[in-house]
Amino acid sequence: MTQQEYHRTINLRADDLYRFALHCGADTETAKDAVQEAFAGLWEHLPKVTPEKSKSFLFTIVYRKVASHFRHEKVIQNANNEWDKNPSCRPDESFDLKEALQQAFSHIPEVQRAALQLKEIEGYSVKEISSILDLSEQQVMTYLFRARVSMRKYLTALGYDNNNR
Amino acid sequence: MTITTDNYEQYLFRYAEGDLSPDERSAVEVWLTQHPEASEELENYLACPPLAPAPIPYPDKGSLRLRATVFAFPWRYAAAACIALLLGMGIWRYLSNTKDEPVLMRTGTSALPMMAENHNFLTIAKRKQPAVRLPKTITCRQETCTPVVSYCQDACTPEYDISSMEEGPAVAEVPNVQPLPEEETVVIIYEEILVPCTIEEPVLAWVEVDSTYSPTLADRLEYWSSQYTCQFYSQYQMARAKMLTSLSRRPF
Repeated sequence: MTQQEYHRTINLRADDLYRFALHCGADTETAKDAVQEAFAGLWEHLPKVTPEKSKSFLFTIVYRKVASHFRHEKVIQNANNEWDKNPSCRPDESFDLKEALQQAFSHIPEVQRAALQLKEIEGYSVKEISSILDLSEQQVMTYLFRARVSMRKYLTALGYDNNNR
Repeated sequence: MTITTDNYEQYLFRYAEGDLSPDERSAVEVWLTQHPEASEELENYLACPPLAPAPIPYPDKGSLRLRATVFAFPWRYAAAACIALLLGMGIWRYLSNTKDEPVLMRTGTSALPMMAENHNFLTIAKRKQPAVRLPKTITCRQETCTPVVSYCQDACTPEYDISSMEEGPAVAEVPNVQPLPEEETVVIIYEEILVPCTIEEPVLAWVEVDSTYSPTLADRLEYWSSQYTCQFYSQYQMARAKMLTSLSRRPF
């Protein structure tokens, strides 16, 4: 990868990486750090990383940075309790489906969020996701399945069905 | 192919993605009829709307480019600049050390920089900073009336009390010096700068003479000092040259 391609990659991927980190549960500072670290790593390995591989390279670093941050912070993934304790997370009649979906998305565990983002937003295959998240393909498929099932159940609990509100 | 409660989610995922062979699909459908709760989960999976999150722009892409510029900094030039700086500092230090040339000897009371009461100060050679003062005494052996250079026991400041100085052990006799009258005592304080001081290589700083002695002492002292200074200055030059060669200072 050349320097020019590197700079082009910044324009292409920085926003997606940042969103990915935020949706994995990182705060803005952690997300920014993760993205910076990812591009720093890419620069360091510039001759070895091709433009085609750069995307998965970057997402891998961002996810690992966010995951290690959560391990450090010992975040307890208990979405139900969070929902009960935090009034802002209570179902609101003003929520439209998009907001409700976002709410449901934030409800699922971090690793499921990461896998779902990589699949539905970034378009990665199960095999690629398993490489980025350092999981087996069977684990990835299981998490993807559980993620959408959980989100659907959450939407149903909020009163949203297939016909929307 | 065996579907169990441990692996059914993987099969249902692949079923929903259309990633199973016809035989595998049939097997899953049969299994689902036997497990209605799993069938309900599959319905939930299929009914969940796709994610469509809004873009979130990264706050400062410029910093990522700047970081790349920093990483691209030619470290070899930075290394060269550091080496040049260190060399320059070394050269500057060397040159600043070489600036400490002694002032030419001044003899005679009229050329004295200061006059303390009851004392004549004779500046023989004056050095600049840094200064390591190691005063010595030169006393006159009453037996031979020849000056004897000896070390003072303690290092002193210029404002010391001469009477408190103790004569150290006589180390060497200064040759080729006009002998002084036996009743006269001369105290010579050396100021040694840069040059590692040995009793053989003293550097004459100034001479304090008790004026209560013979009034002609100053004249005699001037002559004596000029002889002394030349002697010592040449020794100083030799010592200094040696020091510069070794580029080291001996601690006192």
